[in-house]
Amino acid sequence: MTDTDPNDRTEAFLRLLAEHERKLGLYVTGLIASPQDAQDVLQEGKVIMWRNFDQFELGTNFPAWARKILFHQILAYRRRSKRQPFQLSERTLELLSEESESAIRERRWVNREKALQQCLLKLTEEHRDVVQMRYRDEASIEKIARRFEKTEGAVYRLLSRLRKNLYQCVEQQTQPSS
Amino acid sequence: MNEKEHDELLDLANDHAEGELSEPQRQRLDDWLQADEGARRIFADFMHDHAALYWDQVSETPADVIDFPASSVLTRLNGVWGIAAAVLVFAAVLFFNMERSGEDSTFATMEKTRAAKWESGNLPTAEGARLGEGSLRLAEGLATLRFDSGAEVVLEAPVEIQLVDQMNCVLTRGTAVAEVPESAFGFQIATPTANVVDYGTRFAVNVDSNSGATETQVFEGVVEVEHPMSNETVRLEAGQRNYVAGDEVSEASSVPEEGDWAQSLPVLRRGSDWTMVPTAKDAYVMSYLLKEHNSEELLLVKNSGTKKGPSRKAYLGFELGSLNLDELAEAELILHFDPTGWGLASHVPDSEFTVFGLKEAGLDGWSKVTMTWENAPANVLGHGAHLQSDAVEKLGTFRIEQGVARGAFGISGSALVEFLQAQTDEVATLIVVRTTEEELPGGLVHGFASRRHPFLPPPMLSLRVAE
Repeated sequence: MTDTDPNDRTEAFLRLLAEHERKLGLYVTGLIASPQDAQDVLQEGKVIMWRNFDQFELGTNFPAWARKILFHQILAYRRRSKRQPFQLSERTLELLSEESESAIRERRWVNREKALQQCLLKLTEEHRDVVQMRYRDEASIEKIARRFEKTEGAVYRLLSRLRKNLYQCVEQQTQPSS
Repeated sequence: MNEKEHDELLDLANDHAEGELSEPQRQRLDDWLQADEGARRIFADFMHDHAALYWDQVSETPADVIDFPASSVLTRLNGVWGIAAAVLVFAAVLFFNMERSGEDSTFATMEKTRAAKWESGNLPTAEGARLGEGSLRLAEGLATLRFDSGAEVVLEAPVEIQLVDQMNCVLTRGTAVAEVPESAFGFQIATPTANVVDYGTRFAVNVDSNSGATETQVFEGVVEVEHPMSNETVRLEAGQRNYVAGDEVSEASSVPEEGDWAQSLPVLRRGSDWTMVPTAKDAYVMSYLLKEHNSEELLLVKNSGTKKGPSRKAYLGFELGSLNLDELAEAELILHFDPTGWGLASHVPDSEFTVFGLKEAGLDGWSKVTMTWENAPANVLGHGAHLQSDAVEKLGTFRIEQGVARGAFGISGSALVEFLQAQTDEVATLIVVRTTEEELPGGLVHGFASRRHPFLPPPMLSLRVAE
């Protein structure tokens, strides 16, 4: 692809990135849990992807290529992170990455994402607000506690229960109907 | 997993999502995830929901499901790519929707074919063709498939394969050699008797067309051979192989040593009037020792010309004593080439090989153990292909196309017949050299199966004696 116009190359990259960025973000967040850290890793990963884009062969599987780069960035992030003692081991991350690959291959997660939207609608308005504050607004537990006049412990437990309920709801919705 | 354990796993996953795992909890979760595939699936799904709650509330959620301010679209797309990416958000949504509705159903490419002759099958066979689900039957030649996952599978005729998706195919007969990069860990070749799951490696699978028996050999990395009938799994590492037939699964075994493999080589018959004679001894010599680039299984051949590079010549010894060759009508020498992994195949030109017969009976006593570049019969030390012209007779040449590293090649003809008939001492020595010199140092090393190769046939003389 070296004979391609560099502008085309840039456009191709931006298009591929725009097309797949969300899913790549989901992949990284699924592996390192903290959405903010995942943003950083994704950001660094995008720079590396751009630097190495001449090694990517147009027409082949961009997200698979990108995930490989991101996985290396995740390991690098894990190694330099101060919270390293609290993180999953490299071996576990490798196994989870393999699990991600098969979920993507089976299109399992596309179905979960759709179901999740349905399940969110089943929450009470207050519970949905709590989820939105934590995820959309990236509010701290403390801030949510103040807003709903609860203790931090209660908010933590509530969020925990909501996540588990959502998981169960999505599981039910994505089971093949008997 | 019982309900209590399931609940505990979700609790641990939740605490992990919040970054609130204690060290003992982290250890427990880590060990659990490593040991239990089912737990990994639940955990990965839970974490994916967590990730989707973060990402999808912002950029891709249909506005009628969850209401959010348009300005927050940018919050997930900041930094160096923020502006450009923001411009393309619209396009992204469009692409994403297209992907959801009607994704391209192909997942592999017919990368390369060599002398390929196809039989029935329902997939395109032209080079560069995109392939989806379906079947391919290769009658002759070689074909390389590249899956979008990154896995590369070389089919060696005669072979029949079904493509399932970018991580799965079914080999119903014949030989496939797979090379699986990191991106395609878990790539699987199913056969009638086994599932061969790859963990980043190079391996070969052969399926017997009659019995469906599966032989797997690993060159690099790790492969797991699952036997669905017994639920047994055998792990194979580099240099190991195993065999699955019906309800039998063999243990992983090392590629056999010279001795025991030799006993299992029968004189095969090809039709009633053909006799197949494998080598009684075979070896190659090398112009200087390159420790890592040696092989027990393959006989290596390479021509560095007069340059210093490590040239190699192969010697084949056939015992013909028990055969009456007076009435020999036809003779063929068949060599099964296989990649050596050294040198870039695509950087090497079409190569010509020459087979010589060693004329002087007194020189047939060479042995694999003691033969060196210096004492090999008829060898010309200063050149990668030359032999002492008065000691040998040229019997024929064959050609291997650029980029081809596998397949059966050889010579036949009256020169070979007459040479074999003229052998008075019951042993015939043939010498194989590559006439084509490498263009650049470090070129491809060709190799063909020796009598020690775990699954490819040894160098073979195929002889037809007139009735």
